[in-house]
Amino acid sequence: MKNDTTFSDAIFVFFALVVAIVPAAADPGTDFFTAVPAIHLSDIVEKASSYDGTIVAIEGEIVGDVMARGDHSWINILDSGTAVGIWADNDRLPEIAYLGNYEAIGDRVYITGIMHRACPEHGGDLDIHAETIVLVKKGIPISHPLDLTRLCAAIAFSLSGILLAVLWRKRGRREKSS
Amino acid sequence: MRSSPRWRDLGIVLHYTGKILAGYSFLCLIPALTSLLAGEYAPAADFFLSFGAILTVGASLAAFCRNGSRPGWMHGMATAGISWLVAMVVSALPYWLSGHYLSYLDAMFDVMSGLTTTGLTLIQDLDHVSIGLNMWRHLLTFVGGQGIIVLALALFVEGGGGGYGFYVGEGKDERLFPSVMHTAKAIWKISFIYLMVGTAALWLAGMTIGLSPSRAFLHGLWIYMADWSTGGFAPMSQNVLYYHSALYEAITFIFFVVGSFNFALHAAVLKGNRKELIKNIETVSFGATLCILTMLACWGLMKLQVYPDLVSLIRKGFYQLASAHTTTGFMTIYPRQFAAEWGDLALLAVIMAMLIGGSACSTAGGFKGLRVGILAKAIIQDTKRLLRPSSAVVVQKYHYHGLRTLGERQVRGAALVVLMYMVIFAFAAAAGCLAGFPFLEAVFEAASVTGNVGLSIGVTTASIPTGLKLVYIFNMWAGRLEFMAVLASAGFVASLFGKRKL
Repeated sequence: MKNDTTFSDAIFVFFALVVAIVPAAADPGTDFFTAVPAIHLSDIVEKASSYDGTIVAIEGEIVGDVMARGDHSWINILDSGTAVGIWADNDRLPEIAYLGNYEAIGDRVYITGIMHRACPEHGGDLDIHAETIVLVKKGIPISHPLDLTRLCAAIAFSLSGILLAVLWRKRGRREKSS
Repeated sequence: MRSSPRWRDLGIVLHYTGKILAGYSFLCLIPALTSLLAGEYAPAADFFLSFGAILTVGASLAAFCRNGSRPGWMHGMATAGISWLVAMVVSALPYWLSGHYLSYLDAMFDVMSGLTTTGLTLIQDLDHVSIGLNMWRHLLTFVGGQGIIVLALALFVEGGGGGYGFYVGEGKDERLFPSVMHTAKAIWKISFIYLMVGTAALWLAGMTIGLSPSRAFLHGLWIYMADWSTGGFAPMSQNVLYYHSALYEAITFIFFVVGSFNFALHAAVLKGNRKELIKNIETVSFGATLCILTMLACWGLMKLQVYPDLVSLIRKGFYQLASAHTTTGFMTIYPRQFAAEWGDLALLAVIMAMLIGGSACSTAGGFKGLRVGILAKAIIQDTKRLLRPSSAVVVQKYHYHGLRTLGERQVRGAALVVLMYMVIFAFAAAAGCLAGFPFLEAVFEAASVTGNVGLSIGVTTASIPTGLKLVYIFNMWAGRLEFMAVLASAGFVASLFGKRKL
């Protein structure tokens, strides 16, 4: 029993080392690299003090804009309703095809980096300074087809509203003149 | 001189509510045209549909509910209260059609939040919202800041005897000119001058921080609309934190402080009377409470070592506190960071700042610096009375667009409004506790809705109980209209159905 426990402990330590070392050693772009499970961004925000200063792995959609600031850029990553700012070296940014907005689901990226609860470099922002960024899935455009029923309702309501407004104004003028 | 409302009076109230709605419906054309320009045809159809529906309702009420009578004070007050509720119901249509809300109630919550310049939101997936819908969100908060009645008065509603009632019913009682309509027009002129300046400043700042020119313009316009109106909405889910920029934060800080000042003060300064800025009881009161509460918040944050340096303390601690005090609700931290990191002392300072709010007759909420100033002066006056012989007459003066003598009437009025604010604040806090939230979180969120602020500690989400959403909607409405129109509307409706007359 004692031997079994020691063996399982050894396996656990081995995998823990793999989880800790592999991201730093592996080349970005390989499937092996993204093997470390990503932490949800809502967890990072909720338990910011526990993750402060540690290397974290996250995965999410790039939303909004890539805001270039010299040789670095800000991107914002969205995961299950929570978005967090990522400070990244421009050379480490993958080629971005889609940014998440009304017209597209943005590219999905896997990021490892140092998490700051209150970043001293960026005025106390909760942010992640990216070490590696890997494109996991290319984004896709979203189509928003025009609903013909709504279009017809829009025309009907607009006409009825304008007709009623004309009627109201005419009645108002008639009452004023009388 | 009859003061008891009859069904005929309801006709007058509904007629003017219809007029306000009819004018209000044209606002839908702005996001509709924006959507067309952006090539977003589905949202454009939604906005045209909403325009038609609101105009139909408004024109029907205006056309069929009339009896030729001029509106009186009672009609003006009741119209103001009822118009805001009807505007909430109809303005939720584009939100609901967008598919970004889980229920029509959630959509109405966001409309009330926008119109009252609160800034709390139940929207889903904000980062994928259309340009048209974002335009509508920020337009609502911009119009709500000035007031939908003020808009109607400025554009087309002939006031009559009830014109002042409409105006006061919306929580404003300063006349910049003898005529209420001229006052309404002046308020809009001041707002448009600042709109151009503020949008230009944020547009340039946006391009500096890496946004494309078109995105920088749209974000600048939207953020400015929410900024000046002390609204707190933003086009991205991270709010102002999204921009990661001290420059953007500095510009928003300037405009939300300026936006929280009294329109009469703006008019005085624009006319060259700059001394009013430093003498006015409201600016003095705002300066004093801001300093005291900043010290309190910083003490709490430094004690817990929440931020590593002075810059972070200013950009996070002071910014959040100023945002709370001006009832803006812009955030550069996450809601859960308030709960997890800030500690009781700093949160207490933020709660007090949210309840006090900005200036009277401004876009800000809270029980207002003017009332805090008047109550402080009343305390000084009573203390002097205690220390001096009983035969001595103690005269207390205060500066508010000229030197005024403090009277019992002003003190009573200020105390009553503060008391009513505290009652509905306690009501919302109790509702939050009943819904299962911890005491401090329930109190924080209650202060935010009651003061029309918009800062959140994480309570306000689409998953909160329906009853709590309704309580929050009521508090936002009552807080924004400062009770008079709410009490008048409730009394008006009750006396229509009850036997007792007002």
